[in-house]
Amino acid sequence: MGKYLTNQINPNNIKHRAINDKITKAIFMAITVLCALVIVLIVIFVFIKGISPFINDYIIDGISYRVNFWGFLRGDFWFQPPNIYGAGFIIINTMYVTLLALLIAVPTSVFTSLFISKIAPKKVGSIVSYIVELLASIPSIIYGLFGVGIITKIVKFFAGLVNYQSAGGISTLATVLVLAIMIIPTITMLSTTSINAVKKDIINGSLALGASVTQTNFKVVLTSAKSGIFAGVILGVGRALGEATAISMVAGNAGGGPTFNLFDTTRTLTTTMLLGLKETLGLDYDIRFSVGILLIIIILLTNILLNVVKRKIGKVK
Amino acid sequence: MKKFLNLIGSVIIGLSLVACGGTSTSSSSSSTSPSSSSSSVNDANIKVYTRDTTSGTRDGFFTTIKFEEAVKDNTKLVSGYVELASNGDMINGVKNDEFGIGYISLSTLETSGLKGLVYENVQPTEANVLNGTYKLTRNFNYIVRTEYDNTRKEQIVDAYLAFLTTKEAKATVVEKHGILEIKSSDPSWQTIKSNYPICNQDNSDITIYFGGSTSVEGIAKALSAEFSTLCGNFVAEHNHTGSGDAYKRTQGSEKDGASKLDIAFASREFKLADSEPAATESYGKICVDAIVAAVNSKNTVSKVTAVQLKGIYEGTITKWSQLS
Amino acid sequence: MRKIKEILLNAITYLFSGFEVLVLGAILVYIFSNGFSSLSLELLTGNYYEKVETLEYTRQETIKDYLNPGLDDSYFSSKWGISFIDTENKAGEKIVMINYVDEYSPLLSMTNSSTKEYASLVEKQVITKVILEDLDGNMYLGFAKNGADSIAEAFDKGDIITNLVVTTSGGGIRGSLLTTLYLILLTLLIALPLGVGAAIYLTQYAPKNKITSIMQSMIDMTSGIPSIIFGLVGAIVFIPFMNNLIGSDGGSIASGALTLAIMLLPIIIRTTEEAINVIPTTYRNASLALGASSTQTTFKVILPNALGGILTSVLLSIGRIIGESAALIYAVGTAIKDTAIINQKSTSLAVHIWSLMSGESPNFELSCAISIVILVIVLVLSIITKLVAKKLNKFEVE
Repeated sequence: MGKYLTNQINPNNIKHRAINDKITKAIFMAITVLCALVIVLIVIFVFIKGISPFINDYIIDGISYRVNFWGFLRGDFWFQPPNIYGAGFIIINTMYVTLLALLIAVPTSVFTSLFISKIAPKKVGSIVSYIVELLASIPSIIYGLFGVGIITKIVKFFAGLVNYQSAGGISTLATVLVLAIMIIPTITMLSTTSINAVKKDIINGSLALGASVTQTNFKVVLTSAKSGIFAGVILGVGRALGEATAISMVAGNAGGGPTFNLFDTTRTLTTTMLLGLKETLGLDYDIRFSVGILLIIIILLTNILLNVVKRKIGKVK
Repeated sequence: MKKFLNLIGSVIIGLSLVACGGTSTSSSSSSTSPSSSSSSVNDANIKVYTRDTTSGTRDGFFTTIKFEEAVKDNTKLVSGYVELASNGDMINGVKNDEFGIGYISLSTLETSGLKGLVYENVQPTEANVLNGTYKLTRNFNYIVRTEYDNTRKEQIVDAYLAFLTTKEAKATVVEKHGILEIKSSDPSWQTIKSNYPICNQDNSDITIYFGGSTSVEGIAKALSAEFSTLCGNFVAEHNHTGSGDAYKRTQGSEKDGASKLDIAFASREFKLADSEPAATESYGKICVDAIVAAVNSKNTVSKVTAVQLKGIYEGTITKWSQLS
Repeated sequence: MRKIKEILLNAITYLFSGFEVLVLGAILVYIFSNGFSSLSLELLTGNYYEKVETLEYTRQETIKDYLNPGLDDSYFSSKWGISFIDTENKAGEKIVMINYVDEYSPLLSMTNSSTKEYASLVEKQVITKVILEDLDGNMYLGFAKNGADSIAEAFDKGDIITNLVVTTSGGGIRGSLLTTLYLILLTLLIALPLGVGAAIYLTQYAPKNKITSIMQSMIDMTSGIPSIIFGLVGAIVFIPFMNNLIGSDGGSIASGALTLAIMLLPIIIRTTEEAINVIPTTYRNASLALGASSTQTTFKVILPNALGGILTSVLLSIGRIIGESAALIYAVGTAIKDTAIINQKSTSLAVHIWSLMSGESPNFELSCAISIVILVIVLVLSIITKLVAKKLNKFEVE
């Protein structure tokens, strides 16, 4: 004990510990700066590689080429040899399937989370909640297998009903369904947290004013949880825009577009990057990075846009 | 209330989109006739499946049916085509689609579950390929690297080329449905292996990279697996991405890149005169193969001509009923 | 009227939730029904690639006449005492299998061409082709594609076996299992120190100024980037880096681990930050008041109490690593291997499935079997996470 105290008040030790502290702080700060710089690294490198098809020369069969930037942005056909690439229709396709997936996912998620928090008996609610958590942790490749195995068969069936031919079920509709199934757990989990966080007094106030439980649930609770639900939607949109593996197995990677017909094959930014990946050098490889740049920009823009909307609707009365 | 309307709205939009699926908004064709959903295949539109532009099978197919413009250019194809990256994907695509048509290697026809169409009145069989009556044929070729950074690798590849001339290798090719004749005058590996002392060493630390055509993949894997047991158990790594990469990754622009190959295969001839000037003695023929126009086994159509195939792929023939 | 509307609304919520349950049920039923039959110990521990053996038999001393055991659907060669049957392998392909070898058959003492050791033909071996010669030098070929009868016939005609190829089936996932394990260990080794370190800095040391909040937002933004973009970065940054560092040739498990590490940083940082933030400030203040340096406080007071959160982040990361595919396809590659070596390409379980499904002949049953393995691991992880959250959450405010 005496030795310990002497150690503690020994000026040399104190100086030692002060230096130690400074070093530790510096190390931790360096680590944090490194982590923060990751995103910069990502954007810079993808940008450098992705801008290359437009400003550097590529030699194909002895002739050097570049890709036309505006043609790339507006194009309605992915590839025409040797150097014409067009990604405009892909952007439209990506937004289209995301929008449709949202149309299916948002009502489902909101109703399910209302069910979990308010309407179902406690036990049932927690079981359903657990099921949703499990669904959220299933890897996307398994969703892809499920899509190829079951969803394409369902789409083929519906295509048969309206007498339209799909390519064995590989279609826009299959893509939309797989995306919807994948983002529903995300939105549901966040909405559930949000609904659970609605203050008891608001609920009690509504009930005291004579509203029925159901009216309270649907009108009051949902409105109060609005911004949390919307936060879930934003996350869901991010997931849908970035999903690659699962939809690559059911989208078909159409050559041109844009595709609005539900039963035709489609091509999104992520499927373009993932499918047909054979080469590791050359124009065909680098152009995928250009598509990557587009994806990053689109995700950034939608995030900013949706956050602005969220702030506007987030005012709880 | 709002959520309820939201829900009804989304359901209505959803249903209308599905219904609108019957009429086209994009440039793809569709059938609008009010026939029953269990209509025969004949009423239906033809769904076209093709390989990607690096495929030798695609090259052979379009060239032989006189549609050369489409070999490298997807814009020449009828809209709504489905592009697949390998022979196996093509088989799966057409297997899942009763209205589909595609083209596959004859060597994979038997196990594919698809129906091979009679081409210009000739059945797609090995016999008809050997006697020259089936014309949609092409060779399976090999090409090897000329510059090595490792002499043992070079010797193993040399031994491999010699192995290809033996009865054992030829029998393996035949077993995998390659078409060639095995003569009793062909050497046996036992007799020539003394010329290749590298094969008596332990080569398990060496990896030989194989690649190229996906149509040749089955044959290539069987050959390398067998030869590995005969030549020191080297590790054979296969990465088949299409005939276009055969020359490119052994002697062409990617021969020193991350996906370089030592031995590659192509399901077409090498363009020696322009883009693929392979060094002499570095390439050769493995066997003959044929391309078969294949449809789903439920399809009632059984024969087709070159003119019809061109019409189907360029979009002038759109319905199965137009093929009598 | 309102009553009806209310019942309707409530019914709709039941409907949609039921849909969710249905979807999970459908996925599980589908994967299990397709994959269960392929699931076996050999799947988990076996090689992916078929083992091919080339055998030879140089001389036949006496020509005996072996007795046909008379097995159903089999073809017997009386010259060699061996019986063949047509059957199917796990992938549904037709194969020819040996189903009887006479105990005195010379085929029990063949030579393996590569090892030069003795080898015998045994039941259950799959034969792909055989080349025989008779004493006059005529050649007889037997191909599995022509059926068991043609092979038995070739055997009966020939006296010397010059070449015989048998295969033992592959399809195992041992290589991918090991790779997944190595990926998890390596990634956590890199990402945990960095992530926990950054979390500690941001909660304990960082001044509350603009720079700190910018750094925090930058880290948060990273979590919104899709995994395929991380793959792109891994391919152009970490692959060349590792090539120089450890002499790999193209993608490697190491480059994959680095890529996954930067992808998991935001999760680890955020979860650890939350865990640290619930520790009452009194703990920290008391420690400092007692004379401990901030370093000692961090390591002896804060970290142990944040352990629950750190453990949760580890479990979340493991789940993410197992499920990741797009990033690894770019940053490592899709070559399936039977061994896992850090500076070589290999596939994790998820990429293995992708490689199977996008290759020559998509093998659905095998893919579903591997999916079962993944699902079981994910399920166990989620149960453990819940237990950890309950046990180590001593600061939970009621």
